[in-house]
Amino acid sequence: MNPHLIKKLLLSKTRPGQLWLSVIGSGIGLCIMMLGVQLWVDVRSLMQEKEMLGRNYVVISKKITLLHSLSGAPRFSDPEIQELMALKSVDDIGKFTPSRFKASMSMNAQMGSMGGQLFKTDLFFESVPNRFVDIEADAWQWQPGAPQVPVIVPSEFIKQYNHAFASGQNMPVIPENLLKSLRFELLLSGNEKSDRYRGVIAGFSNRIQAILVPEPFMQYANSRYAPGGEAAPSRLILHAENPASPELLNHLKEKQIETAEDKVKEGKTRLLLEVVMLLLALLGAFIVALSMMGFLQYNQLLAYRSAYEIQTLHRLGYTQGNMVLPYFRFALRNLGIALALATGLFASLEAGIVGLFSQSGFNLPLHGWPWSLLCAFLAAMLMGWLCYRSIKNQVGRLAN
Amino acid sequence: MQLIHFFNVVPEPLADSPGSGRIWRQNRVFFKGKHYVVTAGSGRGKTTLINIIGGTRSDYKGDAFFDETNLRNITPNDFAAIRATSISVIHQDLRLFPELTARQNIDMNPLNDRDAVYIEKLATRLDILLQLNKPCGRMSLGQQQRVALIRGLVRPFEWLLLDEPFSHLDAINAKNAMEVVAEIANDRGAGIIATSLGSTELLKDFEILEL
Repeated sequence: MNPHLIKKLLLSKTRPGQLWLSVIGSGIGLCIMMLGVQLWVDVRSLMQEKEMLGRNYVVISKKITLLHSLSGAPRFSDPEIQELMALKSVDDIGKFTPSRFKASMSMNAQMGSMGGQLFKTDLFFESVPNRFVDIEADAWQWQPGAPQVPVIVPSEFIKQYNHAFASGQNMPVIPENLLKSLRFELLLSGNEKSDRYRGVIAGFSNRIQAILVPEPFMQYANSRYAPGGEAAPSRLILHAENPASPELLNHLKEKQIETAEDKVKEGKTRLLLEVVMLLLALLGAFIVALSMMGFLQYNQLLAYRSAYEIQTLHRLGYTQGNMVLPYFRFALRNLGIALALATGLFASLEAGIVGLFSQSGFNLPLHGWPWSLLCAFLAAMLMGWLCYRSIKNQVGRLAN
Repeated sequence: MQLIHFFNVVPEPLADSPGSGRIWRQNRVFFKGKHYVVTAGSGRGKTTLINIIGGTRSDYKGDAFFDETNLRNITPNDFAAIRATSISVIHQDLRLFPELTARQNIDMNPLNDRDAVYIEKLATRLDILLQLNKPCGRMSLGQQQRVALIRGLVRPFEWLLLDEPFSHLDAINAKNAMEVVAEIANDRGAGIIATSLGSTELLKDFEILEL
């Protein structure tokens, strides 16, 4: 047995042009798959970056009609909430609890020139369960008896104060980070009781147009200043995987429930993006599959061109395994080259793509590339296995 | 492998033709160490016989055995291993690799149990010593036939299957080759099954079997 001669005989018809075409083809296929995986992982993580109230939260309320001006705001009954919860796209529901007591806040000037009371206004609060508030847990705590109460304020509120009210009334303008360091006084009263608390702004919210206090404080204050008045909620906050899912939107429409329009639009944009990405991924998978087929075909063709040699060696007494091995080694070598090619191409395109995204104002987190490498490696393993099987079948067919 | 036993064997393509010979549809035993020549005209299945014993054809009716083993129970890979150590076939179409030299072709046996000196001696006797380093594709058919003979004789075998082995040789070369083949087969104690279109005068001491 002369392994060198066997190899020379079996691989005598490699046709370099076709060989490199198949290697480069599968390299490009693998590279496209790596880019696809990277973009998939990174763009998804870009889309899932959370704001204070995460992206997939929607606040809903019932439409107010003339009838309600007599009966008060329409409320959500427990069965209605369960109905919503039963929807596939809804993961979680939180009830808004409104304050039922009188509240006012005032800010004393420690800022010099004005002196005395700078600012005083009546207020109302709402609370939602803590799991819907995405700020540091430390900043969003209230223990019974604690004199200091954290508050979340809609950032729109501050803008209106600064741009419309303060400048018109000759009042000082206050930036958000300064506001966070200010302490103000909260006066809560009702049920013939009245207490002062120190308020501190724990954060600002774009998403929820309400002044929020921690839920334990709300329960404590409602029972202290307005006992026995528990009522069904008129606003709900939903956590939905996709706020624009037709199932959810149809249900809301049918039940005459209103939601913030921009939230839904954003959800639709997101949905569109996901559909486009899915299509791209499918296209990529198609290209990868085609390049794999090309590679397999090349190896089958290579064996086919040496049909006489395979048959003759078999007649001389070589087993099929003896003959599969040189082909398989050759295929593995080419696969290695394709993988190296794909990795190199991927690395050089990566820089360009990151640049493209940062030009458009997105910083890709670059979490995806290890997954790309893993997927490329797994795809190459799969290809190797398929190659082995197809070469084995081909040699078996040709030998007899 | 002491015996090759054919029991009611007939190739499928010949199944409908009436048979009166001494192998097809017969109970026929070949004994190791004996020499047989199978004669018949074209199309009577001489090459098929060689390929059935060589394990590269299985489209026949009836059963064939190596000692007690039915050939149908031997996988293609096991058959290849049997060929490598026990059966040497010299095909009618020679089955050489034209781009390889004679030496390389001889070297393509899975196992060779004779060394280069022996090969050169054999080449000298068959009068192709000077061609050993030439690609087989550039040789005459007669030279190629002798290369194929050498390749078939320097590997281990218990059975030597020769399919029209001297068809391209002139009378002198054929006689010479016949002597070499018989001598080596006898040295090894091997059985020979040869096929011939009709002329058997060279094949002394061969049992003649009409197909």
